[in-house]
Amino acid sequence: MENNPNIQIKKFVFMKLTSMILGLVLSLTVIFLILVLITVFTGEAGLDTSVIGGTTLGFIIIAALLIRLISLPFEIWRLAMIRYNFERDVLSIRGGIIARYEKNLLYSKIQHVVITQGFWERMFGISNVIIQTAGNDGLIVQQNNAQNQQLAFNQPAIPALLKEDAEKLKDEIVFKLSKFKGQGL
Amino acid sequence: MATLIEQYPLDSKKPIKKTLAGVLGTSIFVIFVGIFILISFIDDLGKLSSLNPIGLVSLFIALLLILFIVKYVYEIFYLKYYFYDATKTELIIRKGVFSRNEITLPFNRIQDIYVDQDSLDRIFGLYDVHVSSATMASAFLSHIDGVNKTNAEELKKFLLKKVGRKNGK
Repeated sequence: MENNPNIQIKKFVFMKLTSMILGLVLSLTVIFLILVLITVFTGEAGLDTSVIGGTTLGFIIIAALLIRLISLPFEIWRLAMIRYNFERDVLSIRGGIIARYEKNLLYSKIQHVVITQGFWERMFGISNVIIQTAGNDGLIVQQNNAQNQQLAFNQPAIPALLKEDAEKLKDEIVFKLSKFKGQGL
Repeated sequence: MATLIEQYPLDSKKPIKKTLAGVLGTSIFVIFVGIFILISFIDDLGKLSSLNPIGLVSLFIALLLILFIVKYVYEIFYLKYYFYDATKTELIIRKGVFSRNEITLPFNRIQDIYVDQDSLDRIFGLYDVHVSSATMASAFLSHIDGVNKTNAEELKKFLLKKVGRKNGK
């Protein structure tokens, strides 16, 4: 039987939009302040360079924002495609929009379960469950918090769950793998 | 039953150690950048002599002080939210102020346990207990940082006992 994880798409979208808007405001403010400082310290000559530099940087930031906005529907679609299933020996996770994947994780080989919450994810109350084996998927992990989202997509993971659901899923996986006594290597 | 962190708590010197490490790293970086900028000014001696060294140094120290305070407050909260506990079959470690990561490690999947100290740890008498499993992620998440000597020993003994039993030895 396939399980449709209770993925919080609405919260995910709100989170993305908020982080985008606040990120935009913050970066524009920082740039503005730097330019003001440059102008104050260098006078007339600084004003010209500040205006040119400021406009260029502003365009770059807005372009980056547009790219993120365009990719947002695809991220939502990607989330909506994720299914998982507890089979007898394996936990299988399926997903993907055009390129599909199916990750089959043997309970006897799962090393540990990680629940991650980035800053914005905590503000909106969502967590990612990441399941790790000793395979190569474990190599992609970076502790950089801004990349938690990326990390969740690269690994056998079920992202954007409510905290309770994440805990429940973790308990379920840990219970399954507790039946296997070996080291899983 | 008391949780593991209540039995073997983190040392209260941990925030100051982490703060010092951060501030020292930043100041070394800033000094190098400063030297680099000064070197680029050298061909223009007039500009160099117009710089006010005392003002620069005091600005540097003031910024470091602010950084120190901010980092210290952050580290105090980091210590407050640090949590680890052992259930019957697994070890749970949770940490993070703004973001939060929780790792659940079954004892039978633990490969080795080691205790180490970096140079600042030596000064403050702190120990890190690393619990590694076969994944790379465990290197980042599954360690207990900044316990004193007795607690480090006790934690090591406790975990080794658990791991040994689970592995059927």
